[in-house]
Amino acid sequence: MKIKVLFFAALRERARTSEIELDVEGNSVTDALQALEQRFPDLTPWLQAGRVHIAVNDEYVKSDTPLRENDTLALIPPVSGGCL
Amino acid sequence: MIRIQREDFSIDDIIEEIQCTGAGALVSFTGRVRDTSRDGDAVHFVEWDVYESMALKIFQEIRVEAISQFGLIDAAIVHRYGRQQPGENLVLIVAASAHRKESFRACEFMMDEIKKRVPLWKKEILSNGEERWIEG
Repeated sequence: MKIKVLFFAALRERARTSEIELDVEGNSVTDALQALEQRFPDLTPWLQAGRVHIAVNDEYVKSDTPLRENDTLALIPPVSGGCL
Repeated sequence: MIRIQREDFSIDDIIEEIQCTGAGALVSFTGRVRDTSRDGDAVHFVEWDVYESMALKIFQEIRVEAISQFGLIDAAIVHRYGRQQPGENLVLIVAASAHRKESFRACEFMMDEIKKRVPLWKKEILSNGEERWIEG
């Protein structure tokens, strides 16, 4: 299936893009993350160390969450919201 | 009211838009850009990235939670993104309630939740040329 993937902050700099279309074999967030690691090996340390939260269609989700065609998956690095 | 914007905000203008009927207390918190990082390094400027659609949704959730939990009459959150210099406004939280205790607590609650939940990221560009994304 095809989904949209959004990158932000440090991940956007590493991936050198803010948005891609991704072909996913399978139908879960886990499957999408595996496809991302193959396409962006530089992101593997982030994805495998659990440093990134996942959002699908603007909601935080767990890795076993099912995906549907045209879902938007966002990689959320640790947030720094607000101010010090 | 929830706003995410590049440009600076006016506290007076935002307060004018708050529902204040019955409010004996109006508490506001303004976060500003510091001129030093947590480690004490001099900050040249900061840049904020935001996942706007999700941030708007979570800001509104936090606002509604604060109104419910603290019995507020109204609440507002305004957060900037993009580039700011040290000393510039960054975030504004306003709470209106019948009495002051609820508004003080609600402002602290909203700020704590923003820092934990909202997809916003700060990059510090230091005076020595280093750049780093801030986590947490």
